[in-house]
Amino acid sequence: MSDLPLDLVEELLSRVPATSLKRLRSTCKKWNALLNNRRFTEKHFREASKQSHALLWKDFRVCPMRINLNVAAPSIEFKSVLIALNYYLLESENGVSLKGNTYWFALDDDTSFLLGFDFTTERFNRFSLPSTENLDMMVLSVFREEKLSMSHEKFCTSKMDIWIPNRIDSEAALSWKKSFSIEFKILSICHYFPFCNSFMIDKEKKVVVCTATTLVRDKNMVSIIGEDNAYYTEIPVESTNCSCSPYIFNYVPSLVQIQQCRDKIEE
Amino acid sequence: MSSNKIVLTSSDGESFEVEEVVARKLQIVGHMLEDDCVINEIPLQNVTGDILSMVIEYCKTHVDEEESEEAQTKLKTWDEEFMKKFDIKTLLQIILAANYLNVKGLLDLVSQTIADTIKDYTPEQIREVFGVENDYTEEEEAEVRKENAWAFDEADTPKP
Repeated sequence: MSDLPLDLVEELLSRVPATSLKRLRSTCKKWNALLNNRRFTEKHFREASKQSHALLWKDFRVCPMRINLNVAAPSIEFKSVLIALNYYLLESENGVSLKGNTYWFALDDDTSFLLGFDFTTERFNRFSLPSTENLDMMVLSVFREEKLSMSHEKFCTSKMDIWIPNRIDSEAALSWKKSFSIEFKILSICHYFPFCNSFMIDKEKKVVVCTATTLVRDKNMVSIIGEDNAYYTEIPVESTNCSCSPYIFNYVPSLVQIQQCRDKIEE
Repeated sequence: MSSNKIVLTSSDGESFEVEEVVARKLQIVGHMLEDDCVINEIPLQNVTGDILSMVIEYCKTHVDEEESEEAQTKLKTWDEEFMKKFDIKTLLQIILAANYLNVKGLLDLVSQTIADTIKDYTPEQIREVFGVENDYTEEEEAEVRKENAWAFDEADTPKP
């Protein structure tokens, strides 16, 4: 049976997640050629459901993480090092990227706001932040390449709120909605409140996976904390480099390749 | 107003009498009816009776698609249950039929179902199901596999 016409094969494969397609390249030459075709990779980028992988940045290395929330005590498994870099990445709180826009926290004349840069129009846009009492302890995150989220820790408490914008329009007033809150357990040994420097959320399960640090520098942890203390798990992370705390970020596999400028490489 | 009945005949001679609104969900039939409005029997050369009956079942269920959220959820649940009935080989026959008969909703539904099914297949399973010939030499295949070894594979496959 079969002999599916190529346009139907295309229709099917454009809905298969990127990591599976990578494995299916060795099916036959025709399929491999299709998966290299730029028109196809763009169609795939639009249609296939986005996968999301968590990576941990620590000691100038990027390690894949496997987070399992479906077991009684949620677990995190750290995988072998994916790449090692010999330069600093910008700290995650400096900005996140979403659909061709990059967002940062910014401040002018004592007003905090969200600064967005739209790479298609090459313009900056200014968005409001949720109105909270103080805006010191904020971190931005993107989940599933779809939506922005922001964590806000109230100063000198162990509570952290997760905010999600209803929508982002250019120049429009952004309305934020509080999605859920979590609470850190205070470490009795040092009486410091842990502060979160990077996080990812599972919106359905209302769970935060975050890297948190206390002011005692060698206490780095990856924490999984759900609403109402569900899932509470802390996993210590050893880090040898004190000036650069570990943080987690999101990776969405895609077939689209960045066209590199050959001339520059050859120079 | 009583609705007009139309007889659809499959390649193996099976006939199905359906209401015109249902038949019109098959866009190929819709176009024929526009060209000549007196047809009431339509032969469909590229689809067998057992597959056609499933397409008709889908069209009957989707004949009046209501906008309400409740109706949409109900339809979605029905779609999911409907798709569970078929194995991969039947799904591939349905996608060919949905494409030939031009039933957009069914084409989308079956495409997604097949995609969800084959995402865990090995290249060997794909070749068998899709009837695709492996045109790589052994060395070439090993090379492609090596190039596309995925950093997350280890993380994605559960440990025994």
